[in-house]
Amino acid sequence: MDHSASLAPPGVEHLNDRDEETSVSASRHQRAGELFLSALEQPPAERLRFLSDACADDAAMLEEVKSLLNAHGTADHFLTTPIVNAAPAPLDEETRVLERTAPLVPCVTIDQKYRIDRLLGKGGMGAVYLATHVGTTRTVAVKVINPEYAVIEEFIARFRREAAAAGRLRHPNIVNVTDFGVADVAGTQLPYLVMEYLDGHTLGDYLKQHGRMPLDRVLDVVDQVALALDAAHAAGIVHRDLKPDNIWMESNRRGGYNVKVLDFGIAKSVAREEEADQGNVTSTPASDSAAELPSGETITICRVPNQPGETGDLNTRLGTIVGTPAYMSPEQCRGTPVDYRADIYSLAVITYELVAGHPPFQGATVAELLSQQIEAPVPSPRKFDAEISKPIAAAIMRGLEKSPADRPVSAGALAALLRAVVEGEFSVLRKGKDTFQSYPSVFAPLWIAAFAPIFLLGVAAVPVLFQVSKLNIVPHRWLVIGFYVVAIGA
Amino acid sequence: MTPLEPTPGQITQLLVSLQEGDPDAANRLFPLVYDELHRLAASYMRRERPDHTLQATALVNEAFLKMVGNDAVEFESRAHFFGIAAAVMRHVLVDYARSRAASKRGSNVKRLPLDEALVFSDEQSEQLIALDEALQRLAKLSLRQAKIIELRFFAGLSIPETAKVLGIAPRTVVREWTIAQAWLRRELST
Repeated sequence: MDHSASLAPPGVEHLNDRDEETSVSASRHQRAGELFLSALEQPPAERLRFLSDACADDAAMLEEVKSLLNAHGTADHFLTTPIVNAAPAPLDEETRVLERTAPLVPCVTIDQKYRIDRLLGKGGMGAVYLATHVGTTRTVAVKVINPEYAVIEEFIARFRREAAAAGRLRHPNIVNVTDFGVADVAGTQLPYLVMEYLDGHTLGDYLKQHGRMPLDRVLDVVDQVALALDAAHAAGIVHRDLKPDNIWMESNRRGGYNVKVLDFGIAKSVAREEEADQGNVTSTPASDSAAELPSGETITICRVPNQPGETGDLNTRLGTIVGTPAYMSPEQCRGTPVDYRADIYSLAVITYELVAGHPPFQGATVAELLSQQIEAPVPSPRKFDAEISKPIAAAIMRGLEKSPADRPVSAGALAALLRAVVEGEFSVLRKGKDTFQSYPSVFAPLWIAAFAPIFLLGVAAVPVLFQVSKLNIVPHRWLVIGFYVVAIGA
Repeated sequence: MTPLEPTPGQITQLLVSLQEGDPDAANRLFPLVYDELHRLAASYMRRERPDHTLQATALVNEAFLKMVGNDAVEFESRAHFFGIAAAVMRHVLVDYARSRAASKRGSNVKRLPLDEALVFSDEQSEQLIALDEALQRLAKLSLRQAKIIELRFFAGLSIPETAKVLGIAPRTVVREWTIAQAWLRRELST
């Protein structure tokens, strides 16, 4: 072994040889690395400000992290492709996939039961995959929570508990949860949820495409969502994150939609039930796109750590995931405990948006939106569209009462109220139409056109008739009288 | 280079000792793995098409199968083997780059068996030597980051494999890998 001395492996035992100076620079290196990663999570425009704040008293650290950020930006394939590897740049792609926090890749079989086919979608909290149940070859949807959330045991426990609750719900308007488990993926425990695979699209997609929905269809959708909510509420489960993106629409063969509510209980599992500290509340988007207002995204509301400037560890950052600001009830926005009536509020917001084309509040920032939900008077939907009748506007706004006690007593009650006012209007219209139809307007001109000449002829015939009778021309007399009778009959 | 080929039993025994914390085991294991990788690389080149580039991962895997075998091996032993194989690959390749740089300067260095297997440009050789030096500095600041670069870049391990070898979460590998890359790029650009 002539080369063994020169080839001493860099072993873990070298750690002990560190002198004090090395350990100081090692801890600075670690701190720089953490700041670098935190800065990467900021939108590019805000990185410098973020770093200046974080390194206010340490100019050397600021320079170190800035140089790391610069180096990160350089496009260079060196290092990203393993040396002596024929495959072109596989690490880039792989890293990208993991950084997108999509924790699974196609063809992987999790728990020896579900073969992952492809990624269907990804949100701030996790990802949904199209998968095949190996035993039955049935197509299913598998939902996995982001690994960064999945590492917290309390989180897994809640996820499990709520998955059980969702599994207990069997309702035609609630997506069917068939399985739950914790898969070991490359050493990480990943809780997953298996659901029936649905064709179609979300109500959110529909709104993006059409802007708003015809009234009769709104009634149908709201009815079905209300059935789902009432069933869940009866089972003691509150959705807490009801929004158009969580309402699935499968076209049925009758030209309508079968509506299914998604993510039942999952939102609750990530929400903390304790009250948030009064006033001391800030918000961070759970998604990567920190620059955009996440009004459509489920957001994390967390308590600010005691020291200002401290970013807080993962547990604190996880905090309380309350819902989606645009659809959140005032009590949710305040961080106070919520019950089923929060879902009624969210359903009313959705109804509002379907009818008016806009949700009631459209704050520019999350904080503004939250304060609007809490205290701003709800603008009438007629503000967006004066064609919406007053009774319909009033019915929707009943569900948007700030105090839960003032809202309709159940989701079904809200739907029924809405149906009553809408159908009330429809029946008025129908009645008006019915009375008009007894004089068939379309045919009236035809009748007049057909019989007017006969009638006129008959009138003209009267003096002639008298003349004829005087002249005693008998054969024509009965003919003229017949004419007359026909004209009167018409 | 080694007169006797080690038996799988010997290798496994060394891996077990390593796992039990015997620091000498690594020193004895290292040259064995080194020789095996050289041998394999040479045979690869004989049977592969001439335009076929060497696959680091395949090489390390085959070395493992040949030296340790596939059955009755503790998972940790396997991880240790890959950890060592990555270090070996690094030395093999850096040696090669050094010899190439030296021969350019006219010194008469013995050609390594990997010469025919690897197609390096002069630029790559210099990069590789600089990388090796930077990695030694990085190891003093964060051994884990240096190890991740070694496993990923020199042994071609994937992120989940790297996570297994180091006994950490894939997420952590991604984070450390991102930091280490930025750090090395900065070091290499100055």
